Amino acid sequence: MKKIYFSLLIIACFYSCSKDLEKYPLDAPSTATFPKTESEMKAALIGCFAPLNFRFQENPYIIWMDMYSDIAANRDNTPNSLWGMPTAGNVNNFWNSFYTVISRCNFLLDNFGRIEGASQKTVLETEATARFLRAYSYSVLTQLFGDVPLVTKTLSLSEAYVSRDSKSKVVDFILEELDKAAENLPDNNQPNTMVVAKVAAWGLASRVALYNERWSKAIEAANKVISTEGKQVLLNNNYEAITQRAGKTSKEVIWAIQFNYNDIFHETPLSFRSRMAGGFSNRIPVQALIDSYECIDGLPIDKSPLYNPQKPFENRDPRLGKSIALPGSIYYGYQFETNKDSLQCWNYNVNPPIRVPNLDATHNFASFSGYCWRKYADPTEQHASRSDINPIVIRYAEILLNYAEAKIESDQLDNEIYNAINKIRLRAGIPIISAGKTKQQLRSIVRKERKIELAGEGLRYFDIIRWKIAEKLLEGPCYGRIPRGYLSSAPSIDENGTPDYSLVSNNSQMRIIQTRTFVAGANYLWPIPDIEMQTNKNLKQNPGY
Amino acid sequence: MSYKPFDFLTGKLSYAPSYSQPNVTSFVKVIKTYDVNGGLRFTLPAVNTMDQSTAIDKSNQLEGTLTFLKNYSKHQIGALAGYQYLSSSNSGFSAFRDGFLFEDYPILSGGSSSNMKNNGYASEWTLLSYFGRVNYSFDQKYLFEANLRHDGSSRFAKENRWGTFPSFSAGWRISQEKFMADIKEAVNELKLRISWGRLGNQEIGSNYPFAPTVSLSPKYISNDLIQNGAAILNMANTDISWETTEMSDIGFDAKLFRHINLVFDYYYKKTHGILLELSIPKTMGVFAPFQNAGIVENKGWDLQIGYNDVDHPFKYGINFTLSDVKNKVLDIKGIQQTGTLVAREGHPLNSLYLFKSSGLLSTNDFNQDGTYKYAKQFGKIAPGDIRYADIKEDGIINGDDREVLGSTIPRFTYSLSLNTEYRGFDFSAFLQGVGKRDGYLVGNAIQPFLFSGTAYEYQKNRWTKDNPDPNSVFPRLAFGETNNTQLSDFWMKSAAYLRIKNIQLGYTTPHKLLKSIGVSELRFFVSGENLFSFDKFWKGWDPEIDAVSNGAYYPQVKTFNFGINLKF
Repeated sequence: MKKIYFSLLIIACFYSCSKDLEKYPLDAPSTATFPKTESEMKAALIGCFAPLNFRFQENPYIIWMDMYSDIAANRDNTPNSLWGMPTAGNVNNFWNSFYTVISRCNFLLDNFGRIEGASQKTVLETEATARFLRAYSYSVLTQLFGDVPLVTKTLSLSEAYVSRDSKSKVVDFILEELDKAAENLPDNNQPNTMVVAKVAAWGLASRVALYNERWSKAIEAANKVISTEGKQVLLNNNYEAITQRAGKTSKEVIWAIQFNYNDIFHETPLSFRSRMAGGFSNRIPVQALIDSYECIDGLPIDKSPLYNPQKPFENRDPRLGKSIALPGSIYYGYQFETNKDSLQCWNYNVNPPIRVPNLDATHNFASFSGYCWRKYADPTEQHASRSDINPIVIRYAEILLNYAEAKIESDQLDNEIYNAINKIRLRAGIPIISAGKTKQQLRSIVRKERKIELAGEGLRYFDIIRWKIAEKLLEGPCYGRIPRGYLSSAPSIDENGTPDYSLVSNNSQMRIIQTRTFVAGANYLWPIPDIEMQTNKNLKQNPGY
Repeated sequence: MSYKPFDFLTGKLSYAPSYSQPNVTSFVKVIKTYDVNGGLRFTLPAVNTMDQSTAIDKSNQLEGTLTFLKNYSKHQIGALAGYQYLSSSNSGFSAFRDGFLFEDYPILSGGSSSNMKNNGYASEWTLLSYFGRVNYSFDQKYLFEANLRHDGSSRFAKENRWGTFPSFSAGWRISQEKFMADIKEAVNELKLRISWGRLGNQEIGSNYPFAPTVSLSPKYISNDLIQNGAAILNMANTDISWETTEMSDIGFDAKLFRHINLVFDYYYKKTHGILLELSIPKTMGVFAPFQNAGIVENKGWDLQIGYNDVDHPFKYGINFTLSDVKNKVLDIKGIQQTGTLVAREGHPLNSLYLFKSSGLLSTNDFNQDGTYKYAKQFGKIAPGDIRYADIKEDGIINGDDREVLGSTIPRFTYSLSLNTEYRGFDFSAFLQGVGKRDGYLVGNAIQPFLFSGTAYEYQKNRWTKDNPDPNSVFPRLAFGETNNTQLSDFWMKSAAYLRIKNIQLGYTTPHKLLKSIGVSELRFFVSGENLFSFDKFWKGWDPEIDAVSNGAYYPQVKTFNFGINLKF
């Protein structure tokens, strides 16, 4: 009997087991049918957005990018060390993140045929959004790398060894795609959502066209945005609020990368805040930015009678104190003072205020420049390592400046230019520009205005690259304040708003935060990532790397 | 259960199910720090959080074997046939809340419901094997064995699921031969061994590397609320199959003069189809699939020598082992990895891929106008900075000038253990070491003041204008500059070491003293772990630290123990 049982058992086992080798994932659908339904389509679109939350250390990439430029510094690295080598991590990160967005958009755009039962409107809107995201990704890639492979459909491995397409071909594609996208994107600008509105497509088109000197296209696209003023876009009367939590829903914001407090947040305040406020003061504005702000009379500090070197922060463009924590101001409830002799400061967070040891003068995590950012650092946030502020990609003030610059560069020196610039200056609270300026003067005005208005918002680096002034601005020492005093006189300010300290008598006392380097023959473009060069032999490296 | 129909045949069937349900609860409290005046400085983390998870891990193992064993005079024949079924499934879920008002009551319901989250997962795999073995020995002198396995894994697609893995071995006990009888006193035992085998490996990280799937992990935010997304993250590879290793071994075991034991092996191991995540163009926007791409060989030998004498009141034993292995990547389909630790053809796995440095720059390397005379380096450079060799000779130092300059795989590992005993006293020691290995530290270990940190004492030996010593251990201090922080062999150091891992001294009191009080054994001892090490690595750092790390983890500790053992 035992024999029979034994045999039966063995047979049963042999029979049942080999079928058991068919195992497929239990928690995810197969790629063969995806996306099948309207909700899968929506999920696929969210998948396209997701890589845009990428960040460098504490900062989303938008906020990080100003530290590549002349107006800000990153304590740990010079700009060149972040992107000036094919092996640099930032180079890889931009390349990978944006090609990930592109490939996900391509997959979605290739497979709309699979979707069943979705409303026509939703399908068209989703398709337009994917086109927008893909165009945006290419706009960043071309601006950084120049010529890049233009991949517009899902590639198999054998097709993936692509070569680079010319920048102008990619730009043509971006602008065409944005036109297509704008047709089906919704009218309503809803800045604190993932909805991409028509104004975003036009706004991005105006930027891409401007960056690529296609003036008429830039003017046309910017004009479309401007025509919705009051309905879809609006300058926020409270300049300070735009880059703070209160500004998340402001109609000045045209498109922003979305974060929240609980799930996908960033830690920008940790890297921005002063030491007293519990931060590392690691990413900071530098002296060259402080001195570019005009005086309240609309004159640069080397020209204005209102500028007092002993009290350098008085009578200045109000945006200075709104964008930057200045010595002597209150920052997160503490007296912010970075003079190395100020060993104590006020703590206003307790009542009555008390004197406490001033870490911003003594600590190794105190700001090297003596300044901190107020933009993207909001005293109402609950904690330094959780910020839900949305880094703004495009806002209305930029569109007005894009418009003005394109008009100036294409010699259409009409009133519209003054209107656009003065809207921004009026909101800022400084004198408007009076008519009758030459092209040279207007160019200088618009460049200075971009530097001040958009400081700390991730556009400065692109500006100094396209204006071909980076070789001057990113070469040599990057200065912070004089640790135990102020500059004895105003530096001279050039047509781009760049200060020159060579005639300031105590310039040798300025703190050198870092010594930078920029090679004109190479650094106007980033290198293609080393690993990509090694993997894909059809790519050619940019010159000088 | 087992069944024995004849006395030379045994059938065995065993079933071993296992079920475990680990429940994990973790609660992270908020720590607040204050300054001397009582003002709040930091609150870390931002909010208290609690994670609670429950998993169900199930596995089934079913094994059936049939064993045959029979002796015909001097011939002994054995055979075994069997199969094994192994399946495993894991599933679980977890729940999360934060913002607990009362930290002393860590129950989920006490947290805020505004940010509660839950999660779940499930996966499973199966391995099915048929195997057989035949062994034969003649007169206890000649030994043969042959094995054959046929394995099927659910981790591979149907066409590539099954792998066949044979192995053979033979032994010859020379000491049993008549012609050895004369020297039996000197050569007590001598056995020659030779073997060859092929093995398979299915452990490749993922349970479904062949199946193209859509991941549900991507998320985005809209209206301050999380939105669930989906995307293809990894490229799948349906061709993926078993990684196989072929290994040949020749060796001998010997016992000489009753006290000396000797074991020696030489082996050659070649692994085919190593599953590597090979680079694909990033323009594809997905992670690379695993591919059966690599061929790696290992050539090595092991030697053990022991001397034991327990016949006298002074008992002692010494055991020494020495082994070495040479690892070499033979083929990885031409892919050139470019990290710091790389697998490159012709070199060991985990080789150090670095710039070649050649000393520090002096003023002679610069022209009158301050420009550098030779190949362009990184950022601003000045006397006292590291010079890199322009391997490609194209006038610029870039990624192409890197070479494999070191290996992190230990060579010549050795150990020595010593045991002695004399009239109740015992002493033992264990020493261990590595003869050759390249160590590489990054971060604060080699960059003073990194991230506004501090500097170590040994970093003071640096090049300065007042002390322009070209042989300084550290280059010019160039905070925030890039030239001296490139990963080059300038920072590579020998991580060879000899370490006294353990020393123990004990005394056991004689039995007769204790019998009266009912104690059968009483022993006092002192011991120490990691007492001394000898190396030429960075001062203060453990040479066993993983290469290319900043060493920022809990180090090995030196411990001393004093103890009493009491047995009743």
